[in-house]
Amino acid sequence: MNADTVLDLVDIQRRFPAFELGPLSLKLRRGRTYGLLGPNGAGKTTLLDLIALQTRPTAGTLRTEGEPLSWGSRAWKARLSYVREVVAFYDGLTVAETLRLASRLYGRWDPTVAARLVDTLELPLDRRVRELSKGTKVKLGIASALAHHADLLLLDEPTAGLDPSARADVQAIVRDMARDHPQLCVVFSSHIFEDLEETATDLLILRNGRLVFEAPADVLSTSTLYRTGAAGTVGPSSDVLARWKHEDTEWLLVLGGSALDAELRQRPDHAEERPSSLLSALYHGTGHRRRDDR
Amino acid sequence: MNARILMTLLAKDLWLHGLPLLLLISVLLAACAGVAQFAPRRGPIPGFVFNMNMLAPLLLSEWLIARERAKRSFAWLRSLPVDDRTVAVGKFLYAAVVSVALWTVSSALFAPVLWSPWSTGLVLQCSLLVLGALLIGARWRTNWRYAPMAAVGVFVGPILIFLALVGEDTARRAALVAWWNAPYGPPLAAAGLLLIYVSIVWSTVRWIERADTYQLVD
Repeated sequence: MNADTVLDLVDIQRRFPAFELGPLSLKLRRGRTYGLLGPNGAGKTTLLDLIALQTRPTAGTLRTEGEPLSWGSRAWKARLSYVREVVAFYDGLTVAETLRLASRLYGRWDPTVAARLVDTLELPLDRRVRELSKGTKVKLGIASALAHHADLLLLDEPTAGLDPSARADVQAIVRDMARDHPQLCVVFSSHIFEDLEETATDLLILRNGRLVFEAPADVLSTSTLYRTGAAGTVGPSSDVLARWKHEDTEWLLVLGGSALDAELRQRPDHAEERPSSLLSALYHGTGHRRRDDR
Repeated sequence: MNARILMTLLAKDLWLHGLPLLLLISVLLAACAGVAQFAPRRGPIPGFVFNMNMLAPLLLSEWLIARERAKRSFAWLRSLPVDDRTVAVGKFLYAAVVSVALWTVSSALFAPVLWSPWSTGLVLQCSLLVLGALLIGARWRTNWRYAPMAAVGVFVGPILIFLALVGEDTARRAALVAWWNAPYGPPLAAAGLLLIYVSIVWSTVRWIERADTYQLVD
């Protein structure tokens, strides 16, 4: 395992009576911000729950530093921080009391960092959690994550239900946090792709429990989207980042500057498309029937 | 299990529920004092004291477990580096300490007859611990609204059946009284109840350790 890898998910799978996540494999690396995108019910929360040891996998393993994680591992939980969509601290505690409780439970708590974060994030120390907005609760979760020097921060739909201004705040915090903590790995889930365009260094798209797209975000800015009516004229290729079909039209997202890209530019049966947002096109496109042969 | 974390969790629960708990204890003791005023010759009121003590675990299980389920704060707690065993044992311990303190004070003040012989008070204390464990276990395993009533039913049902069985039969009743009056009777009953208590705690802790978090919150 690479030293940069915080967590290695190997053929991880979770089956429920009406839903199945995986099997999927994924490496989460330090210094990366993963934008986990998917519609409601795609399995984003289940994936985060598996990573945070909140849900047991039906099959597969989670490995860190070459060792498999055991269920309930305190050592692993001490290295991560998980801010759920329904942010649930103790309503009756104040912000200061919540941070004090967290400080007593985390071994690596840094009071200096905590104090600085309280200041930066403008957390109202004497307010009770029940009086906080969701945006402030997310900030509190982020403060407790960074004050104990987490290696991995999981944010489950932190912008859901926030007004545009609060959403922009959370996006900015995640961006700044990733910049200021180069060892931190962040997984930020959302079903709003605009949330991730500004923050993610890597994109993961989850649909119906399957990881249908995984690539660095900057690949998108250099890749090209082609449309063709003649499905199947391009065979499996590592230069094809994603491929989907909709109403007799096939769409190919091709690695920019690759041999295939150069070839398709010359072919009259493939038209280059320039959507206003490639991520949006990719996200909606992968919602259609997908061909697995790249 | 980590003692420092256990103390932190107990302090957290005391901080969150300390005031309502103090209020509850005051109300229960005041009720006992009030009823004792109307008792014949202002005598002891063992039945009333015991019934009042049955109310405490009902409320405690609501505060300690049902509210944490509903507010989902248990999900946050579980994402912290705290093992499930410590969390679960902390809840049982908190409820047990409250139960012992309330029973000792209320029975000593308003029904000292229950401690003469002392083993009667001990058996009743153990039965209250069993009730508390049943209620906490039930609240943890389900958010079914009738779960507390079912737990009380599991507690009271066998006692009622037993009393009905021995009530009509003088031979059985005599045997029971003889057994109770024997030196080993009440200690054996207390030990049996403690065994049931430990079994409930152990099975609940084991269940929590294996459960997914979504099973522990509403």
